[in-house]
Amino acid sequence: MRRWRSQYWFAAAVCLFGVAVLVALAYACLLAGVDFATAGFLLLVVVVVISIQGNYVCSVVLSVTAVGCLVFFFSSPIFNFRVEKQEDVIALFAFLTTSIIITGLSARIRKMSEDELHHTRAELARFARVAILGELTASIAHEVNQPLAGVVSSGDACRRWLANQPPNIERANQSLERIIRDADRARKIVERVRGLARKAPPQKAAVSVREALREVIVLTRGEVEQNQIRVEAQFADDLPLVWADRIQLQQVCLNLILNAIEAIKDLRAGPRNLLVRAEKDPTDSVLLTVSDTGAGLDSEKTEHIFSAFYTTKPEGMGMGLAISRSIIEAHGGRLWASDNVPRGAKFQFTLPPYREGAP
Amino acid sequence: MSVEQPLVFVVDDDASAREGIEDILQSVGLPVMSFGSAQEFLQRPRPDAPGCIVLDVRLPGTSGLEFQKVLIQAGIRLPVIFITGHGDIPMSVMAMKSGAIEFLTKPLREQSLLDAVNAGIEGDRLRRQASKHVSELQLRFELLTPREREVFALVVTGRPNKQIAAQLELSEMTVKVHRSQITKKMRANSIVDLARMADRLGLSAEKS
Repeated sequence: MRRWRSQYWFAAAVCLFGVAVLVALAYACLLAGVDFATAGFLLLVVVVVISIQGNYVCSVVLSVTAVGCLVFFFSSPIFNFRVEKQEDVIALFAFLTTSIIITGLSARIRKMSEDELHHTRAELARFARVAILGELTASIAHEVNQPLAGVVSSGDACRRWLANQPPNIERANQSLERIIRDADRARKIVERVRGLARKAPPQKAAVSVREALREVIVLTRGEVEQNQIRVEAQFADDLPLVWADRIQLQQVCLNLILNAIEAIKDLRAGPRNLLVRAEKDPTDSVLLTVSDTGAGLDSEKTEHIFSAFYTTKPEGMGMGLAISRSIIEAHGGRLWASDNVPRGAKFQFTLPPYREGAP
Repeated sequence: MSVEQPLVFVVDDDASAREGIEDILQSVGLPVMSFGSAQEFLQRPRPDAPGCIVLDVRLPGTSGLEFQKVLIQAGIRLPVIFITGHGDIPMSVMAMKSGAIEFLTKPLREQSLLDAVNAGIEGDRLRRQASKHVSELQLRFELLTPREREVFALVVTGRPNKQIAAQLELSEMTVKVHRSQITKKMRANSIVDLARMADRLGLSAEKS
């Protein structure tokens, strides 16, 4: 809602600015002794140029203002809103129609390209997300396999409890409870993965960073264990909710965590720690930090890493961080990288808090 | 000798997998103690009973394979059965090389698990009996006087009394007395028995 409101104010400002320019231009034309048709042409150019920035209402307001200016300055009697000559009325009407049609078309074209851009960005983000899931297959398989192993074992046990003489109904029931619990756990993981792969337009809602992050950490657990990495997750108690697309937020976190794992993976010696921390920054935004004790960043290239197609990994596409940054910026936040102390890299991003009523 | 109640230790960080294994083992009447991590296993007191460890390869902190090494260093001789969600060949080779008795993949086949666990318990029971026997022999051996020990070491090499007497500069009579003392104290029935005991105690390599 805040975005809508800020757009509204922006349009109003463009409108006011446009009106001022039109009046000034019309007066200047009058002083320069330009004729009606030329002045009309110049005003039309201004209206079209300015309405590219504003919205459709703005275009109509500007068109009407331009007509007003023409009437006031150029149709006799001058400095009066009365129009006496009939051909002036026709000319003014033609001007108004042309202006509204042209600005209407330009607004339409702009909106189409905006939608297109939005759509392309969402598609790109989804593509990157599916690529991440590809990297995670082993981890996801492990995460689904664990509860399934529990289901199979508990099922075997349940059969044995029932086959006992006399059957141990209580223990059999306990086994069944566990089967249901474990099956549900597997289902949730599958659901989460499907959510990440689903083709759905980004949808913002009030999201708990803690919950979103927990799910992501679970998905990366296999990868973490396989590479013998110690993961620590710290969540401040007073974390506000954020206004975000949950899936895209998780995508950014996944990306940062996988990068960190990648950085630690091939270390020969030294600590293998990964820290994920969420806290409230002084402006009440949520500050998220993913830091590792891996190889670290090349200080000269710290900003390049966010460029598209820049990668240090042999199989990397170099899109992860670029997309992550565009996602965070589309959420009104900031994503940056720095050196971790004493070693490794640190990635941080902020997300503005969700405010009830005026999110 | 009465059969001691066995005990199976399950070490797996994943609650679903761990409780499932626990359930199967309990359903066939095996007592189980389970742990979520290697550290927990090392820290918690464990009853002394014949048993085995069912150990997940992937553990947070110390991995299963490292843990196996720690166990060996700590003198914990329980047989280890590895379980894993993703059985890769190098890992299973490493596990078997360092003495695991079985390498099973999740989800577990009930019968393979039970077979492996039973084999583990049986193996541990035999090992414990053998080591119990040795420690008993050790106690008996400690009753011998230094001189008797010297004679013992020579007797089991099969030398006649005369030669022993000459070597230790004793009378043949004294050697005979020592010899009967040794046989009595060690509760041996024959010279062959004594030799076998010496073998178990690791004495046979001493002096020829």
